[in-house]
Amino acid sequence: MLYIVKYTGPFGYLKPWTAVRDGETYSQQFLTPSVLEGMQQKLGVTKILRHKLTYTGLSMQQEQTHPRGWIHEKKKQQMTRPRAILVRGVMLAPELHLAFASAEEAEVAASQHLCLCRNEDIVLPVEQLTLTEAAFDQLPGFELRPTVASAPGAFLVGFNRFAQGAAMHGRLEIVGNPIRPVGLMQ
Amino acid sequence: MYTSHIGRRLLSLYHQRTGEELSARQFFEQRLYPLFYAHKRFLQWVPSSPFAQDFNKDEKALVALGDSPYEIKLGKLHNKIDSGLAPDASFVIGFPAAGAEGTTSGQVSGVGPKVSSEEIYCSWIGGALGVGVSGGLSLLLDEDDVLWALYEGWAHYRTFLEQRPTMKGNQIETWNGHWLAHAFSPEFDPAYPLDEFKIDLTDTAGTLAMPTREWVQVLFALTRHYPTRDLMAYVYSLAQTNRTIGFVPLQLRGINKVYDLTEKLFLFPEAVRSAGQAELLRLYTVQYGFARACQMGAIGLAAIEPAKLRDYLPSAYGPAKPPATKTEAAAIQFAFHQLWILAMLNNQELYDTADRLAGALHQFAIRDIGKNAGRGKNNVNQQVEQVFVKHRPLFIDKLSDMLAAVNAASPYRDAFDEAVRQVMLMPVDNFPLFIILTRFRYIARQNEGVLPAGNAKADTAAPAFKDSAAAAEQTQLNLQ
Repeated sequence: MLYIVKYTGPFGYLKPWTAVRDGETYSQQFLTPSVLEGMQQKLGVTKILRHKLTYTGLSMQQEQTHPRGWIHEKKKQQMTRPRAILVRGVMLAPELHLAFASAEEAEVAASQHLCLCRNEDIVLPVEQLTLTEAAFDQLPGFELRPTVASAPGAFLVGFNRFAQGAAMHGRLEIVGNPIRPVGLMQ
Repeated sequence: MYTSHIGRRLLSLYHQRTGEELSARQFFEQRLYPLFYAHKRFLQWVPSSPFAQDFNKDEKALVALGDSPYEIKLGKLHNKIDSGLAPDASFVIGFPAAGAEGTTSGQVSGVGPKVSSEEIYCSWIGGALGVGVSGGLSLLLDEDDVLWALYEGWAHYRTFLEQRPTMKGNQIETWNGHWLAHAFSPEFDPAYPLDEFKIDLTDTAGTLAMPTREWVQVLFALTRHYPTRDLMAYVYSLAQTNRTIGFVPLQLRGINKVYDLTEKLFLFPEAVRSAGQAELLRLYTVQYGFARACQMGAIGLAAIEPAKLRDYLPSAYGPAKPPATKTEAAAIQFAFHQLWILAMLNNQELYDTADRLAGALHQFAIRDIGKNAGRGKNNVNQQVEQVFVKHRPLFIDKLSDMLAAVNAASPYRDAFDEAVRQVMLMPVDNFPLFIILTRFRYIARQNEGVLPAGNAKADTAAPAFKDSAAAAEQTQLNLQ
């Protein structure tokens, strides 16, 4: 049996690890092991066993970026940071199912909010479910199943900040239509 | 970044298929560099890399003395990689700009791995395996057959380029798109790989260039090769600033419903049916750009919606456009529209229902054509067009009105009954598709009424269209 908490919120954004020099970045559609580790630490639970993520679409939103460093302008005798525009494709109405091993842990998790990476993207618990593993498999959504690099279908999903930057690999599983429809032809 | 991963995949594939074990550096030097960079025109342009930089005075002197300029550039690249500098975009493909002062430096994670020189060479290999599609985006596909086909295509690109002295280079990604579509097409013969390979080069002031392959055509090529599988593509664009779309699932099983149109060929005008599936699909055009399609999350059947389909539904911006089948090109698009709707509804029964309903409506429209011509006919036509509405309750309302007008006579009653039953059973999203399909079938009936079937002539078809156009406009007015 899996004890599941469902979270929803207006927006969600997960930065793909390959986005480094971007003027436009779409959200990643799944949680990597390091993101799950962060959530575990935030919620104070031992283990998030599985996850499923769905959303209704992506919305492009502009924001301003600064460089990390300062530039010294000798002539003007001042320090500046140039600005640039970054366009983010943000997930609309993300729905996240997290599965725990025990009812107690689910209870703890269901009393707290979560952030999908950006701390303005709050998702709140809305529902608790108890499902068998097989029933969880049938839930529509994106899910990254962590694997070793040599497993079939595995790809590199980033470097784990909780494990000295070790490479993380996984296989993406998609069940049903993970993009929830909001009316087809409007 | 991900380019390194793909590069390493090709390297192990190379080892597996040829038995030759090369390090990434050896592969780069022996396989990639001689094709890509040891010529006047490169196959790929990596901005601000040693291959893109001009020589300084000393290097120019060396070249004047007879040194190969390409070897000097290669040496500079090796030096940069060996020097232990933090990797940046000037010598590693897909990496961040150097320093903390670039406007994008804030996006670089502090959790960097140590990047080995092996990995850097891999990024050059992976960077040459991007499949360019329209919209300026490229795809990296982690599939053996795709990677190998692209690798074999490199040499052909060099040949193709050398045969055309006025053609510009640097278009490896665009080439990959064309090559992949060609290598996975039914005409492809490994013994004569360049046979049947057609690219319409564009000519700008005497310089030839390759236009980018339509994204839907690349998807059709993949669908042909993997009809029963879904793939994962990494979608990106590397330029002054990058674009990262990320991992996008390609739901080829859905797309296969359109690709496999052998059974649906009857929708096409007779004259083009013999051209065959591959020729016809080349004419398929899509509504969305690739980036927009990626915003839907997964590239499946819904993403390859044919262009201009929505014009046939009334919208807030104006009345529905009457479908035109006058020209052959229009008739083919008309067929694609129906085909896509059929695939979306995924239900032959619904098609039959729509067709029967269209038949009944057509009968209704022409039932007393002899009795009063002119004004009366227009009114009836108008009444029929009113059925094509966006919402279910209104649709059923309009059908009831018509049924009352014919005293629920049996052929009408049965067809309308069946339609209402189907409409009530289908998901509400499918209703607009069903309505467009019915409208298309209705127009098709009208044409058949005017013409001998299957032999469309533009002039004779015209009156029917005029009527339905007027009626469609009238419908709009009535609805508002």
